[in-house]
Amino acid sequence: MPGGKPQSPGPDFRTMPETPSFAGGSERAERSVTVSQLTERIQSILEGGIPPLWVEGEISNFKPAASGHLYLSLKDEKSQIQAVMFRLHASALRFSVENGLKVLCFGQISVYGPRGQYQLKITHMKPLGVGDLQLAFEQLKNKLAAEGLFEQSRKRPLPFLPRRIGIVTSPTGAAIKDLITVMTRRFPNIEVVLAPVRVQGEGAAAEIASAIARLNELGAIDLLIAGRGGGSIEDLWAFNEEVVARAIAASRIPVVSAVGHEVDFTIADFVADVRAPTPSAAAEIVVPERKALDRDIHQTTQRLANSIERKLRIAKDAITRLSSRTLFVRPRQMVEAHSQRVDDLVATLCAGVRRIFTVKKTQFAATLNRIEPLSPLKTMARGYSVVTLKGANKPIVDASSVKPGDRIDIRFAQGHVTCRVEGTTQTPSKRESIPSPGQSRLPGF
Amino acid sequence: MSEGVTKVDENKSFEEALQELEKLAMEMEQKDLALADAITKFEKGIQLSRYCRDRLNEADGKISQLTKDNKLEEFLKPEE
Repeated sequence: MPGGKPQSPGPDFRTMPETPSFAGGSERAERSVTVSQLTERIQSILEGGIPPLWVEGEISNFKPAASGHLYLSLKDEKSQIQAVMFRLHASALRFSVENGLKVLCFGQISVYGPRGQYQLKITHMKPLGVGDLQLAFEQLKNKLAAEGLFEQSRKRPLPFLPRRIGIVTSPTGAAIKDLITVMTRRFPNIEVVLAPVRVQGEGAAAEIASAIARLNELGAIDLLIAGRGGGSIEDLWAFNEEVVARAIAASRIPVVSAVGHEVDFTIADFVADVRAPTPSAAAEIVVPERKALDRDIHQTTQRLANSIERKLRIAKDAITRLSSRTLFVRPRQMVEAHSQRVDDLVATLCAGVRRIFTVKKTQFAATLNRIEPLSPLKTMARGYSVVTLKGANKPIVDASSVKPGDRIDIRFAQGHVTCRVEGTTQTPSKRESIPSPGQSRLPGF
Repeated sequence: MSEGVTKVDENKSFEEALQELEKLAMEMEQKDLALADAITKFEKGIQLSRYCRDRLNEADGKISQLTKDNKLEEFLKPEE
């Protein structure tokens, strides 16, 4: 601005005459204006003279109102200015306004008559130095981290073999194609329920959040995948919104996030139980390879079969081997041993019997010798005979015991004869004839 | 619950059943396992093996989508 310092801040002031001459009281009414008139004047000068512009400053005295309007001051080292951001514009902010934040605001200076204030009506605000999305991301991340939503202890293990998988993504995007392709390749009869949503643009975050809740209510789903294919940070933004983070945190079913490419990290990734770098990777993480499982089961079952077969073979061999050993032979041996003993006993017994017999024979011979002198045989050898009735044993000692015609036997020392009685003769001495055993009397003969 | 004769618990996860099967296979490979125990384990193992196979065949391969009124309808995969 050229020229001297003085009294010309704006051309409009030139229309005012030379300054304060309070000379005549009559002039007063003609020259004075009302407060409102002045204010209007100020308003038109300020608002007309300063077109909408970007202002750089640090936020202080921040007061969000229930109405959704934001009240704050922008300041630098020397000055500050009141500012307001009405709800219409404030609601479009992705990041949270907070004191101390250095921002660039676009707005219009305006005068607020009722309080005699001028203020900046902000329509756009962006953080200084970082992108607003970056800031929003950091802010939400810090907030949820402070709440403990990213804690490792909250992470649930994924089912090894999910029975039914719920997927939250666009029905027409690259993600669903990749997911289905990889999943069915790994496990041909895998069962999937897609909850179709918009994954970008206005309202996408709310749809994603509600789909997560609806799949939770559907039942019989034991795993969720929420995601989309790659894109710009704006495209992926829905997965950085708080409502999605809250829905994932509230899900009773474990959630796998699968957003964008490997380098993209979203808030959803931090809250999810498992982060998959891409949708294809999610399919690989979530679905086991059927062939490998079939092979595992087969091999393990084969091991069982081999083990039992080997054990049975060993047992069989053992039986064969054992059956040829003494344990099983001993009964016979024992029988043999016993029978041998029996034999021994019998032998001993026989020997005993023989010895006894010998002894008895000796004794018998001795007895025989002793009684031999009494035997009638010696008497008979001297010429005496024994006479009996034919067929009887009793010797005849009395002639009266036979009658003529009886047949009698006469035994000699050698042989005998049979005779017939011709006649009998009684001898007088009766007493002498009273016999006892004939033999006993023989010696006395 | 006695092992061997009883059926595999239906609430057992595939993973648990497979792990148990592998454990049995390992135990059966021990030299000093009695034959009677081995037979019990073998029977149990065969049941687990069948259970695992059943679990693998359980899913019906359906790809469906959730409608706005929470019904399921067939989902046709978008073409390339």
